Amino acid sequence: MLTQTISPLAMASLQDLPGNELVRRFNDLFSRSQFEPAFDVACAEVMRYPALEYAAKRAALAVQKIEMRGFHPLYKQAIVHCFQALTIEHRHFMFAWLALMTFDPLHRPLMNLMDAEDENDFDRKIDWKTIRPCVMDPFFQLGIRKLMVADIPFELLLTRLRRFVLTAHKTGSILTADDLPFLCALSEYFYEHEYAAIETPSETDLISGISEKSDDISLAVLGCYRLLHPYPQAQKRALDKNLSGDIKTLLSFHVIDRNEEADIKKNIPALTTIDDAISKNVADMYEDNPYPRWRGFDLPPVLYPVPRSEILVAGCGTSKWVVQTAMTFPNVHITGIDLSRSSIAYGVRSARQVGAFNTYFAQGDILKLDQMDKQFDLIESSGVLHHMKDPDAGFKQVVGRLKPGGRMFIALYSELGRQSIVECRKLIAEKGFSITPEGMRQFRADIISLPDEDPLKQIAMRRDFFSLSECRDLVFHIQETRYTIEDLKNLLNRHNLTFLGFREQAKALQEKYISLYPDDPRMTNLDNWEKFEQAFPLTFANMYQFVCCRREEENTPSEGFAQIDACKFFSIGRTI
Amino acid sequence: MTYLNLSGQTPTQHMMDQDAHAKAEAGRLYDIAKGHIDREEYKTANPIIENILTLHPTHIGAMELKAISAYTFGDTETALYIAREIKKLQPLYPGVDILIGRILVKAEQYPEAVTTLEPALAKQPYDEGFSALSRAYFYLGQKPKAEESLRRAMAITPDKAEHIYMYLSYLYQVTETNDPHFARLHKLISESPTDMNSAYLHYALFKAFQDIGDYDRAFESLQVGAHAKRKAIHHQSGHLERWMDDIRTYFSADFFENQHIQGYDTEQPVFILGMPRSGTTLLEQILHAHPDISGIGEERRLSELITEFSSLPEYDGKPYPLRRSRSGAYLPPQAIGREYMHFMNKTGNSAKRIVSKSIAHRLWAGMSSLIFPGARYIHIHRDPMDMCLSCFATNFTGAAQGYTYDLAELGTHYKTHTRLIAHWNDVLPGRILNVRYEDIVKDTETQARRILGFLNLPWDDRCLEFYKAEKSVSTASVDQVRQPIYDRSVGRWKKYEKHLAPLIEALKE
Repeated sequence: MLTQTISPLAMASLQDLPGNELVRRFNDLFSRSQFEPAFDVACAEVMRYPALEYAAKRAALAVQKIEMRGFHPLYKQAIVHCFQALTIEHRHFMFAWLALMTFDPLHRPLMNLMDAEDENDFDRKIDWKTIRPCVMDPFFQLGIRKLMVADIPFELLLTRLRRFVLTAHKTGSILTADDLPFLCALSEYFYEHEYAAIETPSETDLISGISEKSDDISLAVLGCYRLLHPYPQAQKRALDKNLSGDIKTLLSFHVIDRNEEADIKKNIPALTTIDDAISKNVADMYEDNPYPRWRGFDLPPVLYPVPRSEILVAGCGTSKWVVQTAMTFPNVHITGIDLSRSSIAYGVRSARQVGAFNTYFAQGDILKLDQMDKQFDLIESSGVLHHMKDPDAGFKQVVGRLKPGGRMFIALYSELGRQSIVECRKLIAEKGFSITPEGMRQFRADIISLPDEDPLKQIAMRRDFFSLSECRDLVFHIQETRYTIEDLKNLLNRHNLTFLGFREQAKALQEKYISLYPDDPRMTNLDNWEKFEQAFPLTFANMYQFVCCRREEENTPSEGFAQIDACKFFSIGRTI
Repeated sequence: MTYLNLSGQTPTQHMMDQDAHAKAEAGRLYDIAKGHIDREEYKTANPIIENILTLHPTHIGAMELKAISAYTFGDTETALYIAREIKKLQPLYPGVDILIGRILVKAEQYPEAVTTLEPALAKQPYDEGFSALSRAYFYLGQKPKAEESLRRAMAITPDKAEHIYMYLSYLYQVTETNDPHFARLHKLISESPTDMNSAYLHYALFKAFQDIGDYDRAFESLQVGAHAKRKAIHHQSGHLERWMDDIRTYFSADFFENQHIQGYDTEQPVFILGMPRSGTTLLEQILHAHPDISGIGEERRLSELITEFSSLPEYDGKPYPLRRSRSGAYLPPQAIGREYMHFMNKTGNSAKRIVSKSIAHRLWAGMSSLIFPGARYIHIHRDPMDMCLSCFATNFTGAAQGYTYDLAELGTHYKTHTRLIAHWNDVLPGRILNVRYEDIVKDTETQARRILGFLNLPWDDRCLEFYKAEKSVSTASVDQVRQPIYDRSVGRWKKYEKHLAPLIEALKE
């Protein structure tokens, strides 16, 4: 057991301080990279002002920088409050949460079950009476509901727990209405992960036995295995006016949101035609499942009321970027287009809920962008063009929508960065896993069963591995082109574009680059980057995320873009 | 991306620097900061105070200045913390208990304020301390003690206009034309006081003339007082009314038809809408007496949250009108709801319905209806002549309600207000209950039953004996709500009818 990072006394004395003083101390500590005491101060502030969003924001900032090395109940309580915050990504707390789960004496019986060798061993070891206090702990429940926990041992634990719950429900002797908060939380976990974990044939049998039951326990258990939207009894229950508590929350995800999206889908305008065969296939692929599923996001602490400018998001998916940008720049007008009506509907629903009226969504094919007459100050197309049959044709269309002086934020797959993925794609091809939920679950099960040292298992380090639609995009996509820096140079040349820098780089990486290439302070020399990536092949494991503009327009940004750029909200290359 | 510092302060490192040079420098800076504070130049003083505290973190004088500055800006939490730190460091520091007591009064913690101020003032009499004590007793409903404390303040500084005003307006009834207060007031007025003090003196004179039934001279004093007050607070004519019209046009019927904003799910909040002096306090007190309802009085939290943090994109070509902040801080509606409900539940003890009354609620109704899709609104309406006269006759705290100091302006404001309320009734159908002050006064039970029905709560007899409820009230109506309902303020304007031509003219369509 490692030492605690905080003494109860220190926390108690912090809790006497007035709010402004806590903020001042936090800013001071954080700016001096004293992250652990900064986190303590933030927790004290959260305890004092449990509903203050900015306190939770501070805690979320600090928690990403620390390693939780011990248990303290105040951390637990503070994190429970942070889980209720609406303007942060709860996922930041995942590692701290997992660590606290590990160190918390209350959760020892539950966490010990991670050591079970297999299903049978798990069944031998589990004792509902000792486990129940763990799974009824709000800290545990909120964690599995809100975090999208991306951790294989934890997934295994919950998958086995799910099987236990299903079996127990069948025998009818254990679960009661009091257990609903836990069952709903478990159900929400599997819903969020889109049932990525494999189910055994015996489970499939048991599920069919409860698929028509309409009591809340059965609905919650069924929700651990199936999306409830298509089930008539779930639809009926969801519309019950007296619904409250956890089951209401659960059914709002499973049913209400889905119904709303179905309604929205009917009214999405079509901006262009979709004729291309691959475009049609891709559209079909996303039609079943909006991608990527998201709930909250880090709302920037300040917004920028710059005058009106126009942004296009070509391939907006479920529109997290659109909504976040629309809220950050309330006067900017944002158009999102995508092939998938399901994904757009998800985005429309999310934009509506927060009042982002400055968004406009339409179904459209990037290949047909010339059918629209509008031009934009900024076009974002991230992780989209490399899924087209002819990315160059798409690129040409996107460039055609730029205003003079407009900028593009592009993200493309890197050949080097995706080596482990390429190996996985080979495995998928060899074993013939299909692009169906079953095929993807089987693939995941195969990866999970690999020994930890197997290089293929690296893929499980990626968060995308833990939900079905993200896993599909990660390794199963029907169309994928990967690029090298050489390819990037050629691509930019073919379209008469100038490279303005990579985005979203860690500070450490920038420092490394500058130390190697001190004569390129703006970090825009792609020859250097080519050597750099050879030396550090995982630099672009995510993607090449870069900014470019038409040649000769480097120094004459459009007025709209210049205003957005002046806010320094987007990280564009290196800001000197 | 820069991280927001909510307090707007730059981080200063607290160094325990005991070096003599630093101390000398701190002493020099203290004199400068003190000068600024004495001249009420708080914004200039604040950074200097921070510098002193960086050099010398336990500089008692600087800590005191910081507490005074925080107190002046309404940050009673910080002020109280610092004052208590001073007491910890130097328990015998003169005046520290009085400072703590004054902050407690501002923080509306009256019983604690009394127990702090009484012994401290016995040791060290101080006029501002006594007037704070008087205020505390007054809001606690202990009028004789309030009067006595104020007398003691006036014994120390007999000419302080604010104290004379408080004394004559709230604590003392003039009965004779030769009451010595008349001479005192006339003498002080003749000494060319500042606009603010002139206002205090004339409002005091108005009350004194009214007490003896000399309505013409009362009104004459009132007009001079109102004029002085208007000048003192630099009221910008038409500003608020244009804002109200902007709000009305942004939150259009079309807006409400097309928005799908997700709010905070609760049925607890009840907002009282009305103009000042329309009976909002009375209504709140009647409701507060109900066991399932908690009235949290006049609070500014929602106003702060909405003007500081809310933002919506422009709609139909019109910019979002409610945001006033330049800090850039932002919260989506649901998050504002969460923060506000936390505040309400803490203040209102998690009652089934929590009633908040604030003159500003009428401005926020469009937004608060989105933040709280389950909130209910009660609009209280009163005869415009009575209400406007009552507004005109009130010297509101500070710069609030600046439109009430000119009759024509008041009439225009009333019409703008009426348009806004009619609009909320149109776009928020079923969510607003309209009640009339005169009906409540005439038949409280019928109206209370109607309101409770609207709030979906059972009847309770205690609503009729609201004046027995123990609770401090800190609005201009503090005196009225401690008595059973009376109707003598209905039709009061008739006494002043011949002076009210500009108002009557402005109220005409």
